[in-house]
Amino acid sequence: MAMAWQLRLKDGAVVGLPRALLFYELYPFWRGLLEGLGLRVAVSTATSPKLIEAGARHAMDEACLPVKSFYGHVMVLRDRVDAVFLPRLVSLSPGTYTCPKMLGLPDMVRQNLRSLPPVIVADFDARLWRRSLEEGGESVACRLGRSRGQAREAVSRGLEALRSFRGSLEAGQSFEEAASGAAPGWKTPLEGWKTPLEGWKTPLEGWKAPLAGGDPAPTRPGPRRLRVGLVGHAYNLFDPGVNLGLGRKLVALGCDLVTSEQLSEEEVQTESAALPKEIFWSSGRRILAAVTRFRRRELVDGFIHVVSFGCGPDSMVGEIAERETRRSSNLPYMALTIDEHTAEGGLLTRLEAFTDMLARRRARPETPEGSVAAEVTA
Amino acid sequence: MGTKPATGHVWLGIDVGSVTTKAVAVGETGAILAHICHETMGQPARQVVRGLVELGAQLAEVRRKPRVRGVGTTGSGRSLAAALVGGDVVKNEITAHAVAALDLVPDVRTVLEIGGQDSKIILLRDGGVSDFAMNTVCAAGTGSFLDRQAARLGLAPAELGELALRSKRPVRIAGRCAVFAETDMVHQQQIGHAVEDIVAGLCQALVRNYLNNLAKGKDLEPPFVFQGGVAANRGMVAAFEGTLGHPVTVPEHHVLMGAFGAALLAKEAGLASTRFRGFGLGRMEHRTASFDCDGCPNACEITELRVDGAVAARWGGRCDRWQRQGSPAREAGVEA
Repeated sequence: MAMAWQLRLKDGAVVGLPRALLFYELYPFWRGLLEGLGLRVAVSTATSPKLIEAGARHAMDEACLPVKSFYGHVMVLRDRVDAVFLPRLVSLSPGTYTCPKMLGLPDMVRQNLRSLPPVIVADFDARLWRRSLEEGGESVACRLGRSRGQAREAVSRGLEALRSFRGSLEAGQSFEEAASGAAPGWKTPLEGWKTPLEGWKTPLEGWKAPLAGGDPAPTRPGPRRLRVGLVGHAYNLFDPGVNLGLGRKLVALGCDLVTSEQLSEEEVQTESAALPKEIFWSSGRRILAAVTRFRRRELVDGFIHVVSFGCGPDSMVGEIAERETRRSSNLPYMALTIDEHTAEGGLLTRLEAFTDMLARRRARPETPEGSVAAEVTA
Repeated sequence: MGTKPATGHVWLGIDVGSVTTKAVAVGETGAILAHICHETMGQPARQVVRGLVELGAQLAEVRRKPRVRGVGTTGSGRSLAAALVGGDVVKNEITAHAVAALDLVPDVRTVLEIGGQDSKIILLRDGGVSDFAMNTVCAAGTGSFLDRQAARLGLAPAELGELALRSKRPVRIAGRCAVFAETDMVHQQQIGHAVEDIVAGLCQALVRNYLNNLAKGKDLEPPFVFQGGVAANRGMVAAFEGTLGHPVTVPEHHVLMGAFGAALLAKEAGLASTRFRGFGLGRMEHRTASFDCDGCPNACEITELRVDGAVAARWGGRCDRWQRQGSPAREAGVEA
């Protein structure tokens, strides 16, 4: 349930967004909303080992790496902003949930971290409100003492940015490109902010493999780069500080990447309808849908599933995805489990071995065993 | 000594592992002409140079003028080795071990590999890798753990396996974790079980642990090849054969398989020229040092290798700030 809080923030006050967890899915909505309410938005600096170390010292023991990172990001923000934005995502669409840690996030953070500035706790719950983003956003506006009219306008501004962001992601843009181009004027650096969002590195090459409105060509004939289906939670795929630069490493090894974030919500629903089991976690549903779709349409040479150590939903979803992949194709599937102890050397060895395996498989002449039944349907 | 072939092309393979450093030289037929294996003892650069000098001396006995055509490196110290000796092909251990096993047993379908601190399983189909796994956080059952248990029982590592073979009734030991396995072994000793039964039970527990951790959900099919240092332990071989229900082949040079694979990969690459610095490397001065980069909050620890005063390589950074100023070697990559 929403906590009854009220907060007076003057126009132009700076609200800090922790660059972690569902930031990687909803940042454009939050920024559009908050700016629409007359506030300025600052995003915490990129995830670094120091930041994770600080976060891990304060998070509860059984937290996964992305949650520990979230703590670190809040700590980066706490002395530098007028308020910190702590979203509570219960459910993003009817019938699905996020994980328990996400449900309790604002409470855990307030319990474990001292000397926090005022917090904006934003609840999004599609079980209560069918339009969870709209109503969650309006509730934030109302608690901040904004008028209903301003609230509606801010919400639609956020939704507009989110639509544009999702469209870019689905067209194969990197998170950085999609996020910074989500609304006009977002390129301008935030004043007085050391590492503005625009300071992000140039987009990764090789991410251009549009899916929506025309899938890329199936993987089979002709010479081309290897294509890896990179699946997992957006915050694991898109945060190089969490995944140790996985995307960059794979591109350097000669791979193009197609991610589970490139599926549209409709595609997720279509694919999920055909699954043997209903999945209740929204992110898990997307992961399974992506694996099914990429496999069925022969879009990739193999899968890498980025898994957070200790993540319950991941262990379940990963098992189903791997089993389904092995049952209906001969595509390699590798789960990469990541936590703050993950050694970069070991990760690189696995990635090299995996891409070697894909390249050497392709170099060998085709065998009957190796040809997957082509079932190319819409 | 008989007559030596006048000249000959050779390819070198170097495998720098956590516990041992191995190097081999193969000739045109792919046969091993010379090989060395030394404990790394935390000084990989030193052992690589020492090994290479010895390898050169061995080669001189069988070839009058050996001509090194290419050098492959593998193992956790592969970048260091490549930078130091002038490596041409830098390969991960999975590919190197698979290539080596395929060369000796062309129809191999499962490679079991247990080294000093890691273990792998490699599945092969149609003459290539189809799936693999490496141990993640747990080193129970690797060579270091077995060595430690042997030392605790006052045995040489090789004796451990022989002793296990004498067991009639292996004791059941919890192999999930090295710490618990040790506790359990102490307990079994104290209630009076014979050492050979405990040691045999330990081998079975480690095989169980290996299969549960690495082979989970995979179809293990014969022929099996068992390589890496732990394959010298006949108790482990017997435990694998008992559990898998199939014979397990241990190649003569099971310890050298990574280095052998690296040499074969260098040979397969068909290089026009090599970066090899020559066997005179022992006369060069080499030094490694490390420092923390202050370029960003990542604070990467950068390692630097200097050969005769000049920077040969730097690595350890997340970005390419330092790598640019001396890259180890071209990664013989994925351009198929």
